[in-house]
Amino acid sequence: MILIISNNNERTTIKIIQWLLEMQKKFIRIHEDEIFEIKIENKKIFLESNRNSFFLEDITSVWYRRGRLKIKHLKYDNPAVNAHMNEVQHWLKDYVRVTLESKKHINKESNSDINKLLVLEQARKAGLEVPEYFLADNTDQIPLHTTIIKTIGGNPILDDIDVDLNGIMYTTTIHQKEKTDFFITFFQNQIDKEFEIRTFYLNGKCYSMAIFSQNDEQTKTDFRKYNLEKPNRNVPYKLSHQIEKRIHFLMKALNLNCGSLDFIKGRDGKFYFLEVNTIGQFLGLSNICNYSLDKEIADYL
Amino acid sequence: MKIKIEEKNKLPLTFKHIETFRHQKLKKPNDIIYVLDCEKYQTNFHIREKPTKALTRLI
Repeated sequence: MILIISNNNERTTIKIIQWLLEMQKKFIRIHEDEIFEIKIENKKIFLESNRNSFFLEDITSVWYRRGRLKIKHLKYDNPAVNAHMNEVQHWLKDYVRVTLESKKHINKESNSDINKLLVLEQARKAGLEVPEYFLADNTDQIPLHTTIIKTIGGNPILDDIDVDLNGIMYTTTIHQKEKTDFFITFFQNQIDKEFEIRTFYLNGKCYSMAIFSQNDEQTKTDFRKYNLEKPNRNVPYKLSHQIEKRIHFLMKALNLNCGSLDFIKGRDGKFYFLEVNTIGQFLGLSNICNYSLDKEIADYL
Repeated sequence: MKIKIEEKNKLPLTFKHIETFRHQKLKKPNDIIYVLDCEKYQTNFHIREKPTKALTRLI
């Protein structure tokens, strides 16, 4: 039995499920809106929510896509009893989570959030080229026009930042000095790019796509500023064996077996690593390049 | 549209360059997306979709 941890409204999950049905593989999809209770039946651990139930030992593989496995946590009136029961419940939940993550899996809930700064350090150790970067709280020593800033966090979107408005923080080039200090910000040398590469990594295999975003002012610095009128040209791409090997080292070091990696091919001929997204969208890349990644994932599970 | 964010504590420089976008509003009746409860895919948000690519392009 395959366990899928996802959100209720998540289209990629449906694509993989279509393949699982075709392959006649049994699965359970769990959502953010269900809370599981740990029970025991015939000396076996059994998890039950309002819409799903399964024995822990019946799960053969896990695909962590989005959200999380929520497990009921009881509170007790007596503070000493509550403290003790907090620990008891913690270890029970921990046992369930660790057991699930020790099974065959694609991504894990426990390491789906990764620290960009640590990833860059690991990428360097793996031998990948990383544009020079640093943290600063002022622009005194920032070279203008050749430095970009981007958020340290994973999600650049701020929902409901104002009435009826969402905010997004794209990668931006710095063109002027600031008079005052600000909160610690991530700065990186801007690479004069030939094109961008997005690579989907799954268990040692790399599936890449080149994105020709440099000729369009709108997408030049951040291709996510999609030009819908005249979209960037995207084509299948094959990275060198050496870079693919280094990607594999990096993913091993991060304990990830699946993720999307962003690269820039510089005009200097070098391939610069930018970042890894563990739970990003990959079906666009799959459809454009005919990689059938949805089938690859269903096959593996 | 520029927005003014007033906070007591400092913010990263990325906030100075924040861009805004409105919640998606329906422009025409065809923009309405109907979702269904679907047992087969175990979701309450199933959407009937056309294939993203013609089969002949995959062959």
